[in-house]
Amino acid sequence: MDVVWRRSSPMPVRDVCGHLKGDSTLAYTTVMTTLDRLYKKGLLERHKDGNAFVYEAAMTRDEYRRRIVESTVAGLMERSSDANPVLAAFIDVAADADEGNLKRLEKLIAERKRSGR
Amino acid sequence: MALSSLVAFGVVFVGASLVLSVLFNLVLLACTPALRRLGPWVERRAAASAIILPPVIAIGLVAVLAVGSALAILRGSDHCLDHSHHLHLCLKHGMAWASRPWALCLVISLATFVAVRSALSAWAHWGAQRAAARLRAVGAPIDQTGCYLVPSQERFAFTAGLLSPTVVVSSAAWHALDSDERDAVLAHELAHVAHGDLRLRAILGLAAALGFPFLVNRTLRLWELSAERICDRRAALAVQRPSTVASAMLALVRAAPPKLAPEGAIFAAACHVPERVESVLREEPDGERPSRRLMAATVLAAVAVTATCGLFSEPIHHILETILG
Repeated sequence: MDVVWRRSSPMPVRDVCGHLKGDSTLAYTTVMTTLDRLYKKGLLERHKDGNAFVYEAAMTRDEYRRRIVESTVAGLMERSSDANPVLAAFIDVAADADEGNLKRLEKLIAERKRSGR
Repeated sequence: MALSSLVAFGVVFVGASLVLSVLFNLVLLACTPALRRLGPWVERRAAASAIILPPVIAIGLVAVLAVGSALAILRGSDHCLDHSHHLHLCLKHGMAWASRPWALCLVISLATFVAVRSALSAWAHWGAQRAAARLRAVGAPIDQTGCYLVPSQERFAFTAGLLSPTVVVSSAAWHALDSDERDAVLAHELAHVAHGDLRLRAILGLAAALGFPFLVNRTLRLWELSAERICDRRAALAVQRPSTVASAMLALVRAAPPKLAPEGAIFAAACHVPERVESVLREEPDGERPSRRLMAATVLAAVAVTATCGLFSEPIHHILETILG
């Protein structure tokens, strides 16, 4: 993904191999299989260019990181249960805000801030 | 001695644990208003004691009875042959208990329940550990705090991971807070790490499996709320302004996304927010010193109970035999 993100234009498998050469000695078929898997996972887009596929990123690096975070956090919430919480949150993301109560608390906080505490 | 000989001792353990759990949790329930006045540390330690002590004392009782029986067998003064009118709590003759369906069912059911619950807990925490590692890899360290900022449009801040607790704050939450509020949120989460809250909660969850269901669940909620209030207090001390902690809570509640998790799935339940805000603004004592005295008294009481069981092991042995047999 790093190689694909570094290049803004679509890349054939051979070009990806060329950029990976410095790091390791991966076989052409290994890279092709990996790119195919990344395409099937929705991380890459591809289209035919002659007889070969060319690949490009389906999302930016930031978008990818954001998706990883959101799916990881959603997974954490699924694993967590009433009997077995696996995380301690500052505020429950399931919070139901009661508007009247929130306004009362905000007024209380404003008073405290005015008194310097 | 066959494994089935232990069924009788299993019955004593289950019975003692449940009875003590009811007793301890009812006392805690009655004392809650007084404990609230003493501070969250007192509530936290009292709640933890009410959950952990019943199975620990029950283990102590079983150990005393088993050692007594073992010594009697070794000395050749096993009393079992003198009593033919009921079953005996004995490592040698206890096997007869395994032929009692209710005793066997009780012990097997509880052992299965505890094993399944432990396995589910281990599985969930293993997953959380991996998730925390993934968030660390994707996130950016926040200065030298050991906390991580992760890109997300959802607003959250939490600590996850049992073995290496990781504090994670989303970029959306970060940008919704001012500089002091950010420090308050980080101080709150780092207090969870410093107090080992996730580990303690996991231990309490397992111990609660051996307690009386409805009462221990209520006590667990009390422990969670007091843990949050302690961390709020630590955060207020760190930023020197309790109102900053309170405004950080409200800023995140205001921006709460649609429901992601089932209620109670994480420490800070929604209904706790007003209580926590009011508590932190009141600047009430945290009660750490009285809680230490309470812990010392609790440990002494537990030792005294176990020692009494040891001193009067023979009459207790016979009473239990008569009741259960």
